[in-house]
Amino acid sequence: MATPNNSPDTDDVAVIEQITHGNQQAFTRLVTKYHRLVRVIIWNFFGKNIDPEDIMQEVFLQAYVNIEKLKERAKFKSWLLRIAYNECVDAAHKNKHAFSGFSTDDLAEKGIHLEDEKAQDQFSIISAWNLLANLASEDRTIVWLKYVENCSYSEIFAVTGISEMAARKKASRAMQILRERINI
Amino acid sequence: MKCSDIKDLFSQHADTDSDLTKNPDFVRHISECVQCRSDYEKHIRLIQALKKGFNDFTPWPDQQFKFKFPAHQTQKESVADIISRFIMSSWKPAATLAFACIILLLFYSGSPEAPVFDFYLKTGKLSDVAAKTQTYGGKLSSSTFIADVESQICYNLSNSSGSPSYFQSKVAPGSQFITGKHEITLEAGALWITHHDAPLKIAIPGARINIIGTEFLLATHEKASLIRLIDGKIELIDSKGVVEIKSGKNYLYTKEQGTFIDISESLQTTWDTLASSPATAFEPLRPTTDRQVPVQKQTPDKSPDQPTNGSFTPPPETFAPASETVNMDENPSESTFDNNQEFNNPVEGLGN
Repeated sequence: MATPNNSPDTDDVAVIEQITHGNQQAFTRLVTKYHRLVRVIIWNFFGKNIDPEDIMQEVFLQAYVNIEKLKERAKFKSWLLRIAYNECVDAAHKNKHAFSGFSTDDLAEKGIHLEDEKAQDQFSIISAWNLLANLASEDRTIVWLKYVENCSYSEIFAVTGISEMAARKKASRAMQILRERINI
Repeated sequence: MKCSDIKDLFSQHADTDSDLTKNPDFVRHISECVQCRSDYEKHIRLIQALKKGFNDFTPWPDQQFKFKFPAHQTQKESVADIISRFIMSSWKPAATLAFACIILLLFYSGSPEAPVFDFYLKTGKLSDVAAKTQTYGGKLSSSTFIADVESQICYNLSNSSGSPSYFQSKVAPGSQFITGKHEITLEAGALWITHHDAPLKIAIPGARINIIGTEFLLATHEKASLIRLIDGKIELIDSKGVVEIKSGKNYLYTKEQGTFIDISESLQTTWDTLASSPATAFEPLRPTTDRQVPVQKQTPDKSPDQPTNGSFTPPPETFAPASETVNMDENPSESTFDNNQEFNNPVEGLGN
């Protein structure tokens, strides 16, 4: 899932080229490719206690309507995630949703049991979910972009609008909190 | 190097831990400091946990997402756009399309534009513009006729090798019409038509009607036309395009406005009204200031003693309130047509 730093996506450029030449249905390829990332952004803000459908529709609608205005087409991913981030910030202000991670019951429904936590394959999933619940949504998104999506701090700035220096400090502080809480 | 410096390095090089191990000061410190070594190991495991956790994680996995294109955007791509994109995509489809177009062009260039009709007078009495009276059975030439009495016309296809195709019709006395090769033009008066065969076109001043398996009434008077569709469907073609209407609808067309207006709610008309005096059907539609004082509805005069001098004389106007109208949906097409001069009223026995 993660893409290397600063690697422009030539596939995206070709698809956007098709869209701007009238093949509007080509946009579904971008939706298919990036809808999971948009979901993760929404999840980072709100956790499980929200229906992501409306926000996702709005995010992709904004992207669809404005795609012809995108100058650096190779940076479509960052641009899309910025739209998603802004939509989540707006939704958070409007709805005051608090982040809600997975409970023990939720995990049990998924066949994950805390007693198995020490099993290597289950351990990392539970740790990631539960640890990140301790962070603010903004910090959680930065950590995800930095350590999972391998984004550079300049890309994090492009997505969140948080300066590179501020994002670096937030990431450092968040990772320190997680290190202190991690039980591994 | 102090322990605080080591923690700063975690954040600066966290995503490329190999860089840390290449730093001799860092390596020396963690080899000596148990706490920092433990922190570093946690840091590495944390990053691995986050990567694995998120890479295996799809939020709301049970919910399928399908982007809904906005309505106005889905229509943005016109047929021309699709064809253009198809042509631009590669030369092979373009060549195929061009070849298909040539074949179609060659095929249609040898076909007639529209069927050519021969119109006949079946019953009644018509006069042409030269005041030459034509009685039943005669073929109608392409000229202007006036119905002396209620009459019936029909057609067959001149290029048809099979049995003649007929349509049943009534032409109100005093009506003026033109028979052409492809259509009938109603200049004034009223027509009742049932039609279930080849596509027949009716023209009225300023507009046209395509008939597609239909029974309908048509009246024209002073640059305005009334259409009542009893059964089937017709296409109304005016300056703004083509509108397909279905049974039970009344439409008004005025040459001034250049378009058909649905007046189904405000007006009902019948063949009796139209046949007795087409102008009466328009009376309720006149502006109030122009409307005459209502008078008692006149009994339709079916006498054949209509003007036969070749000049069209509109019948005397009478006022027929909509409430007094008769339901035409009693299937007048079932009325019989015989070859005598008597006109079989399609709504005989109803109303009035």
